[in-house]
Amino acid sequence: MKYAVFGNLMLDNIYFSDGSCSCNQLGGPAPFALSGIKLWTDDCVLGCNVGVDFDATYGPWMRQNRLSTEAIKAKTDRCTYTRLGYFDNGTYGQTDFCPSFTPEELMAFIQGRDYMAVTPEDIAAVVSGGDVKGIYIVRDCDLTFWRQLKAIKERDSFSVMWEIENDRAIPENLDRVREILQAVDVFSCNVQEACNLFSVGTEEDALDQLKKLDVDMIVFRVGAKGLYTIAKGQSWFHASLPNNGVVDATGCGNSSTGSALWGYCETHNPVAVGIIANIASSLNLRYRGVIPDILSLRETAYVMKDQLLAEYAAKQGG
Amino acid sequence: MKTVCCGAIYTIGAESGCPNSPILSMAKGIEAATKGDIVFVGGTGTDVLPALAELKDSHPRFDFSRVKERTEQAPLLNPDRAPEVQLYTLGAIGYLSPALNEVLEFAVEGADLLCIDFWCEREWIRALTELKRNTGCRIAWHIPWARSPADMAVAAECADILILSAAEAVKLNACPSVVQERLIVLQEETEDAYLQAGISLAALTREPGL
Repeated sequence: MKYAVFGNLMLDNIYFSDGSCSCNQLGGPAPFALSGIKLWTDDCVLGCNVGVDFDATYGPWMRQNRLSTEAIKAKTDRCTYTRLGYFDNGTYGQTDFCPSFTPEELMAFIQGRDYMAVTPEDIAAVVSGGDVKGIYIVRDCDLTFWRQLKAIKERDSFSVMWEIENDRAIPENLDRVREILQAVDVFSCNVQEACNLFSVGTEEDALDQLKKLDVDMIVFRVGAKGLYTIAKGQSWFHASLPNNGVVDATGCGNSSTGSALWGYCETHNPVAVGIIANIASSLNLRYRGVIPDILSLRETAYVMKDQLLAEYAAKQGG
Repeated sequence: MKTVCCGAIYTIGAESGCPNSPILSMAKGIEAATKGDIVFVGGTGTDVLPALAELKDSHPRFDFSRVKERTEQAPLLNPDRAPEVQLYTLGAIGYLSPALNEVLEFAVEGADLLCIDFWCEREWIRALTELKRNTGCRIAWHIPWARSPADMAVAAECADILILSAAEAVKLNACPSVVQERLIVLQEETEDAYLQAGISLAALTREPGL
């Protein structure tokens, strides 16, 4: 496989303000990122640890999208279940209408989630052989993990897309981030994470700080406005694509980052990468949770890409 | 006698870098009681590696060669910290816990005793029950917490010896089938209590009736 996605997989119970609940929705960063790559190529695999109930929950989606389960290991009885409360504007967070975990449920969630986090050996098992072009990983700033991953990367020569874990983007980790970027080709973060990491208050200040980082490319996501791609101290803004059918913003950051990895490995062009990432989030927005039938959207994605690249070239020419 | 000790290696207390998690303390007790070899399976932090090397010097029968270096710092479970910090520390301990296949891989190499520090998973219970049947290996299981009395009851069926905190042992009240002689209840969760549990469990596993 040319592309591999590593990270947690979850099942989300989504609670809405009208009291309704959408249970067992496929979620977690890894499936969303995988969907972002699968939009463009079949040559991708999901590497993660799951519960024995994986097939009963994720199996139909994996089969419908002809996704390989060869790099998925069952480590526990149950996949990680979480609860999200959705506001009417499509964002999510702590809400009154989303029931809290009991202490036992919280313990099961936290220990299960961390127990199932992928290890460097998990990654090595998937990438060994040298055929992998790029991997996506959502991860914290632990230097032991990154030192081990760097050694695997040096052995097997692939590009690394790192999406920083939201709660690890803090000023205390800035030096760590700089060190980790030595093992990374593309870094992805959103505006809130960048502002926290650099202790700045605005998108513009965060953009300035990101431009100074020593990494080949950055995907800087700025919510509904769109995203920037950054390379060699320059930035390109890509406004979100017009979308009349917004259903759910969950996973847009992960799916656009997954797509950006594919774009990076295939083009190394920051403009194309931004366009490709934007297409993924635009398509992801149309569905509740992860895109149900990814393959049916591939032709649309390629048509959008060619059209947007042509429009960009025309503007540049004009 | 060969014992395989499976669990996360981390620190309980205020000072990082000083590993003393339950699996280490129980192993010290088992070693004292059996004078046998102890192989560790699990993960730990880079910061405790020097301390483990020192421990190896003072306990030559300890074999840490299968312990995986997983994080910069081994989790520091400090009872004085805020509950939410404790909770995230427990998560980090989860990351250092071995996978079932790692446990089985080393256990089938001829362990007489498998000492486990891990929560209840039905998949583990199924696999370990089969391991016992195939190899005759004894199982001592410290269960730090169980989701429910039902989970605890199933684990009790599988383990030869259960080591539980007093709070967790309450969950066994609903399981009259558990023979009290196979149960070690820790009145306090200190290094010494776990060491004593290691001595006791080593003695109990030699009982022919088990």
